[in-house]
Amino acid sequence: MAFLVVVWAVGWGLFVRRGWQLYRWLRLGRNEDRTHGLGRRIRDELVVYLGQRKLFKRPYLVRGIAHALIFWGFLIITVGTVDLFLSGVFGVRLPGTGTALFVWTVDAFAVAVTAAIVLALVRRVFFPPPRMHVALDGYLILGGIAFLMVTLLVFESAGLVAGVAADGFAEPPFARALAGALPLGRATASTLYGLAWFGHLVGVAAFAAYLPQSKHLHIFTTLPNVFFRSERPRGALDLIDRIEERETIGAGSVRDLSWKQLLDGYTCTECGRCSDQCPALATGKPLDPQKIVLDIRDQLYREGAKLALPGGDRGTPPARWKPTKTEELWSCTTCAGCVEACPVTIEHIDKIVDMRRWLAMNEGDVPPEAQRALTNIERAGNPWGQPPDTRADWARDPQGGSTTLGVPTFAERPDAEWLYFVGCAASFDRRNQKVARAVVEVLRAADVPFAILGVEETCNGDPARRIGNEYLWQMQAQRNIETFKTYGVKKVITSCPHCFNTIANEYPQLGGAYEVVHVVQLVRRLVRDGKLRLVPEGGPRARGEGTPRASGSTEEKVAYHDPCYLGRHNRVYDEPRDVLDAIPGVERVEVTPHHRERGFCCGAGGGRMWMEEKVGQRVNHRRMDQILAVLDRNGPPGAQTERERGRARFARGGPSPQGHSRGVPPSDGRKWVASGCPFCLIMLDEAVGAKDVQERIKPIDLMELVAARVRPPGAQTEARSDEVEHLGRPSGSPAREVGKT
Amino acid sequence: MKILVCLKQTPDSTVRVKVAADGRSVDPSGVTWAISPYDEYAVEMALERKDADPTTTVAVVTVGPARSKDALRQALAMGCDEATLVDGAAAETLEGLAVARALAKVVDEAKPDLVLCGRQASDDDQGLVGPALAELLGWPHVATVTKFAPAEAGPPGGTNGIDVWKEVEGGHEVWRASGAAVLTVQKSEKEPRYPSLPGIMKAKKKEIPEKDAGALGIEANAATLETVKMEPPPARGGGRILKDGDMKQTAAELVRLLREEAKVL
Repeated sequence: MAFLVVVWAVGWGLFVRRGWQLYRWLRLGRNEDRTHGLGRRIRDELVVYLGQRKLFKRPYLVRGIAHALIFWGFLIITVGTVDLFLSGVFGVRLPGTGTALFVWTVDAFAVAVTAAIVLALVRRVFFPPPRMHVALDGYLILGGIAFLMVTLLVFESAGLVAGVAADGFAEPPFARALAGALPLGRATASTLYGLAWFGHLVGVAAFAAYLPQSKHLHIFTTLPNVFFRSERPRGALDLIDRIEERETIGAGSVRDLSWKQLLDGYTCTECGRCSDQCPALATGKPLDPQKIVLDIRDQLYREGAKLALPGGDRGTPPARWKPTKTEELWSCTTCAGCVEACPVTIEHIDKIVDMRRWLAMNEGDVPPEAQRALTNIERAGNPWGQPPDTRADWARDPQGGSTTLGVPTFAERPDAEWLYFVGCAASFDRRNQKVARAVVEVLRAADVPFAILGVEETCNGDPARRIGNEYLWQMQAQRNIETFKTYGVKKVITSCPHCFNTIANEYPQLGGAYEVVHVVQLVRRLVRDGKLRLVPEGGPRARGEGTPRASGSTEEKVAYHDPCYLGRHNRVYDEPRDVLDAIPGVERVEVTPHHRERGFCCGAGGGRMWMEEKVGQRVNHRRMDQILAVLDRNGPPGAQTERERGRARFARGGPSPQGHSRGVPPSDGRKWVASGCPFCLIMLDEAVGAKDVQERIKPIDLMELVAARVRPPGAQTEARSDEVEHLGRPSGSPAREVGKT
Repeated sequence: MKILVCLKQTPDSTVRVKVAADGRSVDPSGVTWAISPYDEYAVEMALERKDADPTTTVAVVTVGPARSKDALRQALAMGCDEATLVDGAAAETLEGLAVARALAKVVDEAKPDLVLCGRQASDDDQGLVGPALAELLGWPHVATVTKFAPAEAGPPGGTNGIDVWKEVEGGHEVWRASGAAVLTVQKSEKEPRYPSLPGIMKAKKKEIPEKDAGALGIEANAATLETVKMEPPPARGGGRILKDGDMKQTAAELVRLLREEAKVL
């Protein structure tokens, strides 16, 4: 008994000593207040920690259940183990441990945990997933748990045989079954009973000593890590305040990372779920989000003792931790696939951006192409470096030259309810200018009172912030906030998820709080409220002869691509799908399994739009492969032959309508991939061109699909009524009333 | 080594300049100003020398209106050590030769070992100041320079000179300067650096001494050249796409249009 007390004292002593060391190293990190929103934190604790919610995601469901069983088993059995120690050594029992409920629960979990461990071992040995980091650590942990469970079960069963533990009504059923199967005499059972008890408790002490040296530490660190998770909206990076007064900006040392970021390192269990989601890793880039976290942990483990000494040593800058580190950092698209996937709420992007910030602002070490984009933002207010006074030129009629679409600026229409913040892409990129014009058409059809800022608009700053130039972001944000203030802007519409995310989630950090919507959210609302009616394409609008596909019988397949900054960063998953579903004649196709929370980046986020991509496959090409794969699964593969197309035309009883309002090509046989982001559109277009699949698929913005099907206000009464008559829209197929489902 | 870089602030290349109402100057409203690109290369070239040899000091100077101070701050933020602005009423309208005269006075005072200029300014493209300055100083001048470095073996007599890489058609030549020289820069080895934030902040606080051009003996209306008229290039008409008819007809039509309408054949 005394020996056991000594063993426990040593085991737990080592545990506490290491714990204290880790705590001191944690305190090396920068201060960060993570205590607001207690209610939400407690809810997270219950759902994410105790409830294990993030573990049950597909495709990890079986593994998730196995993990949850081990975890819940750990919680229950730990109480039992403490009881075993106290009752065996001191003769004291914990309250409630004698009840049938407790005994049965422990018994059931001992079996469940053993089964889960066997499952985990089998998987590890025979089917290790490609990115699993198979090391001794994992086997020691699994082996340790298995040892504890087996000793527990043997202890219980032998006790039953020996008749020492029979509490009558609280007899554990599984142990009883096991006892029946064990060919033991009473005396042997009695010895085994003692041995198993002793072995179990020594095992616990050994495990306690080993645990904080291993990744199994997560069973403790997850608790605070979930509790202290960021309360910022996911899409928002943290603000560097008083940036002009700082000597070091960003993470020039592990000490510049916050204590929570260091805690993330302690918490990582090397499960690799983040790696599974990373578009950079999937396409052969040097980045692995798991390594980002583990490198920080390893650096802290290696330098912690030295850094904790007085004297203020700052150690190696994390961005120089190894020669390939900068390349890793610049590979990130900030798509948040990793953040979404992590079961223990590790925040990968913040670390990457903090290291980028140091590179960009302290060292001036930015890839030259990205630097050009930054300089362009600084001097011209847009990353393309287009003349700023041409910002509103998209509002000119592409055919007419000088006639404008008559889009008012706030200076011309100061009472406008909404600001349409056009963004650089829709202002300058030719393809996306069409999207801006489509947005105008849609907003007008629904009588939304809006205006633009015209040449007074400037880049929202998103690329600068994500490349790491926080200073430039703050300047851009302040400029826009000032302009918004001048015109009393309160409500903002954006057609770019990056503008949307920055203005909605980040401008409040500088005092700019507005009601911000992505136009797809607004359109969904308008459709639902009956203010915007969608009619079959070419319905009351199409000119020319023939029967347009007014009946809605020809369903066009449209795959929806989730932009990261609309989806994962802002959880706008349903609105774009609802809008697609509300469009007559459109069949939505999901890019499974890479959709919604598991959507795959187009490759342009995080400032990657402005950097060259030379290593591995291009991210947008991989994305296009995924999209084409589902579209092909969802119908006859590939393009229709010319003959098929002709047949389809014949079946419709007329030539393919060419007179679409804005040159939207006919869709016979061709499929669409729709998105709500100008950068996704650019990347998808590039992929289509590079893969030479123009005949099979065409990228398009949701607003273009909508604009082609809006019924202009007062279509029956105003000048357009003759067109309606001319077309002789059959009364049997009225404009489908949508959105009221 | 003490290097002096002469720079000019010109409209940024992203700006679409407009002719002012007088028809002979640029309308400054809405113009973003920046260091003229070749001058920026000159600054970068000097700083690359400083990176290689920290004992090097780099000073910048410009002759121009008060707004030019921003260009000097940019150079300081990039890592230059000191800056001088030559301004005053006389500096507003100076032509190249007068600017060179003012710079010559500054060089006389500062006594640098080497003077770098961009090969030409992006606004008037005269390419005059550098050579004129060399002439006024009586220094040698090397044009279209892409690199310089301390001479591998100093010339006899002990003074270390520099080797200068000069771009020529199809390759480069290496020249050697044994003493002070004026180099006009074509391009630096690396792209001009992006200033670090601490660099920007330090540059903001730095004192930039001003010299009055008049006090340097430069007269305000000493111009020997005069801009008579400025015209923007004609607006580009819309393109035309020929799509009717077969390929042969289209090609014939294209040739006809190129010859008769566009008059390029």
